[in-house]
Amino acid sequence: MLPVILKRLAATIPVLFVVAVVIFSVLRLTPGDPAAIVAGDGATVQQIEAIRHHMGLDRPIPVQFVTWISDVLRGDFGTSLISGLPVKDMIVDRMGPTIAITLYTVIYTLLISIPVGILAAWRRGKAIDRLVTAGSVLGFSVPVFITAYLLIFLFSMGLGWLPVQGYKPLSDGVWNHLRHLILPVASLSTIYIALMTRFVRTSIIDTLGEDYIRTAHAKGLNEREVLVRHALGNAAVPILTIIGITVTMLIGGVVVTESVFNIPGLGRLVVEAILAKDFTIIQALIVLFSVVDIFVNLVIDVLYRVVDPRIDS
Amino acid sequence: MAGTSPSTEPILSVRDLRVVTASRSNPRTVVEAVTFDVMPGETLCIVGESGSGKSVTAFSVMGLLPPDALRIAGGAVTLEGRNLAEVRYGEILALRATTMSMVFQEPMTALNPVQRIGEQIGEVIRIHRDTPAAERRRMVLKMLAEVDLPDPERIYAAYPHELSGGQRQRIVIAMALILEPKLLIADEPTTALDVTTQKQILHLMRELKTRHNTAVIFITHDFGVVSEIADRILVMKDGMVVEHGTREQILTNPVAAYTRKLVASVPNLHPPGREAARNAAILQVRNMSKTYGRASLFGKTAGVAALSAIDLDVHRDEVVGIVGESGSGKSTLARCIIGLVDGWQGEVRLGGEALAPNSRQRSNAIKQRIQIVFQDPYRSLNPRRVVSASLMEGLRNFGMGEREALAKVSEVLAIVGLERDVLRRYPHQFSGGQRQRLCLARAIVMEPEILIADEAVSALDVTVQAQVLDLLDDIKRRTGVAILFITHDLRVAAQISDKIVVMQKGRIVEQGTPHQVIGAPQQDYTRELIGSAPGAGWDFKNFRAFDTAPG
Repeated sequence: MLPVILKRLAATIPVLFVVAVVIFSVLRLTPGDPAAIVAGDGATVQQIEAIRHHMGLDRPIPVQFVTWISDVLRGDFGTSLISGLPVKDMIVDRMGPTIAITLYTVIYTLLISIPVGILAAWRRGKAIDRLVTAGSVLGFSVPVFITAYLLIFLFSMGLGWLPVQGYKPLSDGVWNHLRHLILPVASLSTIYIALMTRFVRTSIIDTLGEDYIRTAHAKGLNEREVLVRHALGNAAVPILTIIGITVTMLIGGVVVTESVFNIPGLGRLVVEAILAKDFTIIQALIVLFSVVDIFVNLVIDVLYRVVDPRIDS
Repeated sequence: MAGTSPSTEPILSVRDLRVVTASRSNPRTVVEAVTFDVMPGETLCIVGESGSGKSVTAFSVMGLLPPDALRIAGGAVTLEGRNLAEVRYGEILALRATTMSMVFQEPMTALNPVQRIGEQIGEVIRIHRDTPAAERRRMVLKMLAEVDLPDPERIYAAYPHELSGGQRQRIVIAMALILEPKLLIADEPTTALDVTTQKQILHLMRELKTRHNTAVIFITHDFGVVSEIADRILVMKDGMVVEHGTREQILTNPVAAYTRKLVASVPNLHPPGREAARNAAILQVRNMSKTYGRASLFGKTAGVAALSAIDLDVHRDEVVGIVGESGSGKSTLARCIIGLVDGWQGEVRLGGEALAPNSRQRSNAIKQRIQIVFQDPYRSLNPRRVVSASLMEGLRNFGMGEREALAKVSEVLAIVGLERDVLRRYPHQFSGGQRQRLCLARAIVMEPEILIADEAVSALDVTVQAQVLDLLDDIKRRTGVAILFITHDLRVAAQISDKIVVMQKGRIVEQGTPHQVIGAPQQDYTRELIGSAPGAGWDFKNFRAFDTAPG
């Protein structure tokens, strides 16, 4: 297994390099001058020019890229163009809420969708299956922000059970931490639960049509044993794939959720940085997201090999 | 009932079985009035062509009919005196693998790919007996040895994909027999296997059956296999029993017209007398080699030699039968010749002219001279196009006018025995045999000099197969086309070929007239193939056993 992991890690280097080049160039090609934004409305041309020089923005783009990438390799993501704070610190500060939302969403999604998907597959064609199907369609038809505002309206403003917005770290107490995240996680999960449930159901139904399932029946196993001992293991590979995709897609969903619930996480940081044209932060965040994405895929790849012996290590 | 051992009660008795499709509004009858008994230790063969209901009958006994597709609508299935219709579902489950077991057709997919072999076989014991784990393991290892698998310890820990098809079928058999059931139902258990493997599996099943006095229901379409293992035979057609009797009765003196036709259609290993045509060689293959390599990021890894140093001549008006098991390279040879696979070394000459390796580099005139028909007629025709479009496409492609092409296609339809009105229809409106006729028509309308038939009759029922073989012979006589007939079935090759070429692992092992190759084989491998051909001792066409060796 270890050689596979190392080989995969080696293969990510060119990917990351391409990501870095693309991010860097795209940001430079978009209109808007960060020096002008920093300088403010009343600045003279000379002042802007000075700021630009100070920030290194007047140097040729390839030179800027090389400087940046070598700093990044040394763990230095530079300082924010706007606030002047080290980017690394800003990211570390904002990481907690995002990790919490993502992690809870993944766990919650899997806890709900896998059993429900299995149930629907087992009782396919029956009332419960049709109910699950209807729920799924509804779930992925409604956008995150609508679900979020509906939940806020109901549980925060109506019933007053949960806070409308904000975030409390784990150090402020477990319950206090969790109650601030219940609505964000619930609204963000809806779409993924819908998607995953459908997918789990389909994978298991496909698996139940395989020849070895018939063999299992011929052995005298009952329905439950056939499902648990033969169908689930085989349905795991396609389900893992979709879990991988879900986790990487979550990052996009986090941006919206954090904005709606006013949570100071990385998603909000991205939005703020983009609006401010704060290149160094955007660059660092996109590289970070890419690394996370690649890491998730690596984990999924390793898990494939654990669940399916046919994928050789 | 004649031919059965007296005095004992039947293990299984099926009375007036009726199976219908699950559709509530309009159920269609799939199996009707099927009645038979199986005595302890005897082998009953249920024989029939596709759609005869033989597998449905077997699945009905096991209670394994797909519930959303088929259901038992009448009759009684009695196992050891208990009517299964009156037995609770849980008890049916308890009977499976302990009293009645099943072996399936496709060993490649019959095992759970993510579970170790030992676990899968051990599971049968675990769910039916309170056997401690260590004892279970001992039983499984003993059973693995009993089905003649080498190194049971290794197999025990292996996953299915690490084993060959023959080995996997031995596993399925081990799984079915480990609790010594009284009845074994085998649904075409050797159909997906090579003949040499088939022979071993049949031998194994016979041996185990005798050792454990197991009754066997053996479902097959192959009378060759039937002639080797059956005690009694049940012939089915369209869901009904056509005839029922001992092996000798059915093979030597079938009464029903359908049975006579079915038995007489079975090809045997004795080649008919043929005039060896000695025309000029039209196709010459010289020193052809093909290696499949896997290109990876780090350059080419060691490849697999699919063909090595093939020399082959095909003459005008000649049928060359290329025989080999899976992996012998016979289909690769056909694909290299026609240029569907390139990257081969060596030379192919057509009428003296060297051909480019890839069909894309060949002129239309060259392409037109070599045509091919594939194994599966169901997937060889575009389902969305009417037959006339498919049949005329080649001609139109090479620049012929529509009216002329249509006239030509109509002419060829007469040769393949189809009416003109088929032209307006779609492929799904035809049977397998008719589709293969259409595929043949599509090929010969191009007036090729070489027709490659790649397992062109293998997917067909035996009666249809016989018709298509006659048709090929007829086409050859009418048009003088040379036919390269690729098959895994030595019996079929013996019937149609002027020359037989035996291939193994990418090499030509032996070639000669059918009489030479089958009557006086020079190579061990050829002898093994001949020895493995099921039903070699029967002259099916004349309803008698041969008194001489084939050839």
